[in-house]
Amino acid sequence: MAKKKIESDDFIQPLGDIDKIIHEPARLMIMSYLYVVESADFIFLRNQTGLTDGNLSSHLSKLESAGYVDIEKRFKGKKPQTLLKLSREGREAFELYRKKMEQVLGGLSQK
Amino acid sequence: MSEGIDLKALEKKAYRSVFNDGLWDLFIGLIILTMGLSALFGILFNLPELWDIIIPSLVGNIIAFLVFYLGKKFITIPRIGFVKFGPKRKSKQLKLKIFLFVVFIVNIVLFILPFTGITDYIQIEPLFLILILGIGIFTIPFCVVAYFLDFTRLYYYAFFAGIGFFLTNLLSPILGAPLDTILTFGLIGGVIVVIGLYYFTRFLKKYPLQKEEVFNGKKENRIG
Repeated sequence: MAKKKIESDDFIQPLGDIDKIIHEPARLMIMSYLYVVESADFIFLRNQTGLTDGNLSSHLSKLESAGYVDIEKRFKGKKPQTLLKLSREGREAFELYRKKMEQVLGGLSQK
Repeated sequence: MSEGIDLKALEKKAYRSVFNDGLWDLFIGLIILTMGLSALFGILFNLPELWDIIIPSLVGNIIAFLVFYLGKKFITIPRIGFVKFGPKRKSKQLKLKIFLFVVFIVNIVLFILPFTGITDYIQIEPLFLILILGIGIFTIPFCVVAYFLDFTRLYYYAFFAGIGFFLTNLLSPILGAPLDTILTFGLIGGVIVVIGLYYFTRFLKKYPLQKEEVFNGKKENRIG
């Protein structure tokens, strides 16, 4: 019985390793967009993702706290602009997340 | 999620959203339209020979450039936001700039060549020369630009602009100069401008001028 429990834990283990910061639909969408571009501002990301200002900024704050997104505030002319960029850690974390998801989903076969 | 996230498609979607404003269409349409209308303005303003082509063409091209540049700066970017794409796109854009510079030089040489008298010694079938001009001035450069910009509509414009000279030649015995040029390039350029205006108005409706960004619940203060 104890052996069976260990085998089951080994099987589920990869799921536990998945980065929960990225594994949230809105944050995954933000990370995906920032992964394919060099940098973008808040307005561009808001238009592309369709998220509200509040939603987007709260998810960005979480990603910033995790060290995944660099946020730079500057002025373009007289208007404020929030420039967003994936940090090196963010890029690596996203690539690792992709690999892990591929492994996990690849293992989910119907036999 | 029933389907995986295709990162290439996502990048393409983000990149192509930049062309939804119709400004490239307006820019290209205005340049072609200028070719047609320059003949008309040359007559209307009674400009001396050579200047009747140079001045209207120059004015038309400056207007096209201003529409594009000011439109991007004051209309498109405040609406869709600012984005910098990755190294692949940057490398493509650099190649495009080099190519456009070469095209610019070649066009100047082609423009000057008839005035030097060298072309009098070149024996080419007129219809063949027209096809070379159409393909060389419009079709090839437009297709290369379409490839580098990943801008599909430009392939169609390349085709229609390319046959412009050919159509002018066909209409010439019926309408005579300069009506043949005015009608052909005026029509092709006009249609492209209308397409550009359609995309532009659609863009304005889809992306109304946004309120300023509200990051972390705080509206950032403007300077001044």
